[in-house]
This record gives sequence, structure tokens and C-alpha cells, in this order.
Amino acid sequence: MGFCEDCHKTSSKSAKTIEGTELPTQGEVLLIGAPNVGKSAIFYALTGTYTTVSNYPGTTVEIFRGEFKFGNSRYGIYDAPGIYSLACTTDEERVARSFLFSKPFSKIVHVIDSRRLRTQLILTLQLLDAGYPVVLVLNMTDEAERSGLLIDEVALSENLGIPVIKTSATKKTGIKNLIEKLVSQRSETSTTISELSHEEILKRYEANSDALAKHTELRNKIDKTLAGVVTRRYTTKQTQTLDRALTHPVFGFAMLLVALFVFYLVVGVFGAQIVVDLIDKQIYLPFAASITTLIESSIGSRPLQDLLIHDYGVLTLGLRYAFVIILPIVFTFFFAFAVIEDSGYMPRIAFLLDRFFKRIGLNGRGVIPIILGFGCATMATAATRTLETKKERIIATFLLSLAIPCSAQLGVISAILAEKPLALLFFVIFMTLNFLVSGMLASKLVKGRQPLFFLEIPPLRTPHISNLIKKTLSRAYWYLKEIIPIFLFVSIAIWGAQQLNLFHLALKAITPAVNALGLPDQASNIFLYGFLRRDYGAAGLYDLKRAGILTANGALVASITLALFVPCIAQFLLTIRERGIKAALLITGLILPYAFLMGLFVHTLLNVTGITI
Amino acid sequence: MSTNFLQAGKAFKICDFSELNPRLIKTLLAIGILPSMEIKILQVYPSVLIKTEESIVAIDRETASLIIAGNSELKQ
Repeated sequence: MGFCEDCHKTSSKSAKTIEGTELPTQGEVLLIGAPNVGKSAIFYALTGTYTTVSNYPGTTVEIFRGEFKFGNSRYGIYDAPGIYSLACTTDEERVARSFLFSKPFSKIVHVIDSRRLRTQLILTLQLLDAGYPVVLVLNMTDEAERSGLLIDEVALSENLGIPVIKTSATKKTGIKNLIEKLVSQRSETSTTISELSHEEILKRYEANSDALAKHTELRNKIDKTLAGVVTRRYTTKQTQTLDRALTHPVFGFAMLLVALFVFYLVVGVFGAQIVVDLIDKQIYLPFAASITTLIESSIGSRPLQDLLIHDYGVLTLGLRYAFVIILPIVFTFFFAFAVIEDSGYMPRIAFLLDRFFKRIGLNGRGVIPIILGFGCATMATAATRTLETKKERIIATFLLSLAIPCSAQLGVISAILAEKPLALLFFVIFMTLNFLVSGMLASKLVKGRQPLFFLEIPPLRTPHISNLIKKTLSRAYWYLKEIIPIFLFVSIAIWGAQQLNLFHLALKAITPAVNALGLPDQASNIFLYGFLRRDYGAAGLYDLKRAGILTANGALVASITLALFVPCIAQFLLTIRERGIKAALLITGLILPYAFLMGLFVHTLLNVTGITI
Repeated sequence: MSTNFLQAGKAFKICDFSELNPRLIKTLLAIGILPSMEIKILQVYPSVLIKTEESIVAIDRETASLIIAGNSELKQ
């Protein structure tokens, strides 16, 4: 799953072509296969269009479209979410199956993890049984061969009667061969979707009563198909020392704490303090001084000057927040996060935290969208579709809106509170308790059965630096693309409201609530920004603290209130799409008063106990 | 259901699926867990890690006790 870019690349991306034209293609190809087999890596190798590639199941939960060229011909290609078999159990699988049924494809490329050939051939046989034109891709052959597994793809191709190609997508080996197969063996006609109707397919594989019998029949077929095809030279030690340590009941949790601390050093100290300070002092301040002089000397009108510079100017507020404060934080966050994703550590964290997550109505699988939420809650809301039950999806969506601050907020808050470690510790404990208590309450209130936990643990891998950089740049690009128009809009809206004296009125309206939290009048600005985007509010908080307007207690109260604040517009819209308007309004309606109440609670607690941080 | 028999390092057979609910059966089949399949338990806490024919799967103790019969321990 990628960050928010994924949420915005569904149908709109599918209409887009490489040249930006709508010319018909020579064929449309669908990539399909189990989660975490490298479909997105194949997609990228074929098209050069980057979609997020990671090392955990459920990275892709939407459909992506790209194109590749062969000679003068163009071919459309789709990357679908993971699907184990045509008998689906999760929403992400249903997305893939519905898309398979939605239109004719010239080829269905079934991508398999070579090490899991026996298990994953089930879907190949189902697709062939339904009459689809299948090309089988044995991906990750390099890893399979390193583990001693040799596959005779020629014999497999003969046994199945379809083209079989070995690839290692991250190294781009076998891709040329795949393109040649897709082009030369393209179906002459793609007027039929499959030989079986969708109803027949569903009836055949969805029927629960004899699912096992059908599966056993397919497994027997696979045994025959693989006879003489697979040779195992030696058996590798499946669980390496590091892997054992990462999942160990004691060392595993200790290593998780170490990983979190390293994460904090990278994002909260290096990104949010060192880099932000460097850019602010060395680049922004000299730039702001020259641009202010230039504009003041060339534009006579004070309102026009205010639009560009001074306290709320587009250049000195909107773009400063985006480039000087937020970008360095999210950039370092995305990089550190990519390391966790690509190494395969995330499913291991899910394994460690399964028991805790059971207490809040989720299970280990819920860890993945929740962790993704620390990057961007909008993307994480889309990732909730990997959860099995409706109850889990509702609880995860609720917690993502209420209890999980995004990367920009976390970076700013950790930078603000870093000089007072006690405040930072209080913040972490408070947010953890808030997460657990609201989760436990939600678990009691939302009806539904307790989900069972099952998750495939992928092998640990050393992340490829090129993928880390590509992923970080792609996400940073997406982030800027999303926030710059909003930040500019907010700056212009504030300027407009100022000219009409409305900004002052809005500030006046919320100032009593802000004062009740023990915060000065100037803090009203950040909450007003926070209504539009939480990260914009966080950037404002950063400036207030640096200007010495907030006390340490005030910074803590404001940080907690902002961290719990209403979801941003993109997350709200995605919540409507995934959970419906009623749930989205209910969640947002609950969060706003709750955030202020919690701020008030912390302020009162500090006052009553006389604690000065 | 007792889960005491689940011990790291021991090998078992996956039990018959006749008592399981259809959703669980579908999930198990999807990730390649079949009746009579031999598995090895790698770890039992905080959840259960099992090594199947082709992969390592994390499951909770409840699921493990549903799909692994206590009397199916294999001599290694």
C-alpha cells in the first residue's frame, strides 16, 4: 500500500495514458496474484509508472493503470490488489475479482512467488478453468534459487499449456521475455471475458459447502502438474537469527522500542529539528528578507502586500509552512517508513501486537493500517479494506480519525516537546492510553464477531536503496501536490477573511474555548488552521512555540488537542467512500468536542496537580 | 479449548476441516493450509508462528487450537 497517492489514483488514473492521449491500445493486460508476490514491481518494470512496492501483504488496495510500448504499439496494463483465489474473503480481494469480471482483457498475467508455487497455482488453475487467457509469471526466482528451489519453467509451461516466464522484477530480469510473450501471444480477440459467466464462476468457487472438495481436486491436479518440475537442492534455515529476535516474546518488544526510538531520532530530531532549522535559517530567512524588501518597494497597496508577505502572506505563511516546516519532516518520515515497509518488519510487528489489538476489537492484521496511519491517515483508511470483518473496518477507521496523528503532526509535536522530555513522555503515554481506551470502548459499542488472526510472514529483505529513494520521492511529490493548493487556498482565504474582518470574528468566536485550555489568544490561529488541515495547524504550533508565546504546559495541551483534532478533508472524503456519509459525520462530530474536552482535561490535570513541565 | 499442547519446536498435522466455519476454511485454503498437512510450530507467544509447506504463517492461539489437533503430534 502506498501513501495517499494510492487513494487518489483509482478511476482517474485508469483514464490516463502515458502520452496523455486517449488513443486505443493494442491490448489490455491485467496483473493478478496473491498479496506480496511483486505485482507492483512487475507493473513498474513494464510501465515505468511507479506504484508503491513494499514487503508486506496488502500494499496495493486499488486498481492502477499504466502502459507499455512494443515497437509502435501501445498496451494498457492494470495492477490489481492481492487475491489468493476466486473465493474471496476480504474487500481487497473482491476489488481484484470485480475488476477481473469488469471488462475483457487480452491477457491475464498471474504473478506467483516462486517459493510458493504449489499454494499459488490454485488461482492459475481457477483462471484457466474459467477460460481466461493466462500468462504465468514466476517472480522472485532469484530468492527461490538462493533457497535451493529450482523450477523447470519449460516443463511447467508444457504441463499447463500456457506461457510461463521466470522474473525477478526488482532486478528487472525476465521482463523483456514477458513483454515478448504478452505481445506475440496476444489473444486475437478479446470480445469474451471468459468462457464461464461470472455467476458460474462465483457459484463454482464461492459455494462454501464443497469448497474443500474443489480445493483438494485442484491440489491433486497441481501435484500432477508439478511432477518433475520442481527440484529442491537443499533446505535453507527458514528462521534466521535476526528474524527470531524480531518476533521473540521479550527481545521482539525490546527491539520494537529500539526501532521506535531510532524512528524518533530520524524524524523528530534529524528531520523536524536539524533539517527544519537549517532550511529556515540558511535558506528561508534570507529569502524572506529579500522578497519582503522587493515586494514592499514594488507594490504600493498594503492589502496586496499582505496577500504575498507579512503575517499571513502566501509566501511567508502558506509556502513557508509547506516547504520549510512540513516537507523536511514528511520526507524523513517517508524514508524511515519505507525502510520498515521494504524490510518486511511490519508483519512481524503485527504478530507481536496481535494480543493487544484483540483488546480493541482488532487483531494483528489491524496493525498495518494503524501503522500506515502515522504516515497518512487518508491512505490508511483505504488500507482498512484488507481487514476481514465490518467491525474491524469501522473500529480501524474510527481510530485513524481520532487517535492517530499523521507524520507532519508527529514530527512537529516531537520537535516542540523534545526540549522537555517529560512533556514528550506525557504526550506518548496520553496518546497510547487514548488509543487503547477509545479502542476498547469502540470494541464494546460496535457489534460483530471477533476476527481471527492469520497473516503470512514474508522473508526479511535488505531494502533496495533505489526503491527507498523512488518511494520517498514519489510520496513527497504526492504530498506537495496535495498540500500546496490547500496551503495556498488557506493563505488566500485567511487574507480574504482579514480584508473583510471575518478572520478576526472567527478568531474571536473560538478564543474563549482556546483560553479555557489555558492557551493565549494567539493560539486561536492554529486551531482555525487545524479545521482545514491538521498539519497546517501543527506548523502554526511550531511557530508559536519558537516565538516563545506558548509555555511548556501550553505546548503540551495544544499538542494533544491538535493531535486529536478533526480529520483532514481528504481523510473525511475517503471515510465517506469507505464507510458511508453517516459514519463519517458521526466520527467527525464526536471528535471535535472530544479533542477540546481532552485538552481541557490535561490542562485541568496540570493545574490541579500544580505540575509545571 | 485447551492450547497447552501448542509447543514451539513440535510438529503436528492439520486437523480435518469438517468442524470449521466456511469463512475460516476459505481463508486457510487461500494461504495454503490443508487438512492432514504437516506443520511445525516455531513460536507460541505472543501468537503462534507455524511453518507450513511453503511459508511461515502467524495465527492466534484460538485459530491454532481449532486447526491443530492435540493428538496429531508427529515424531521427528
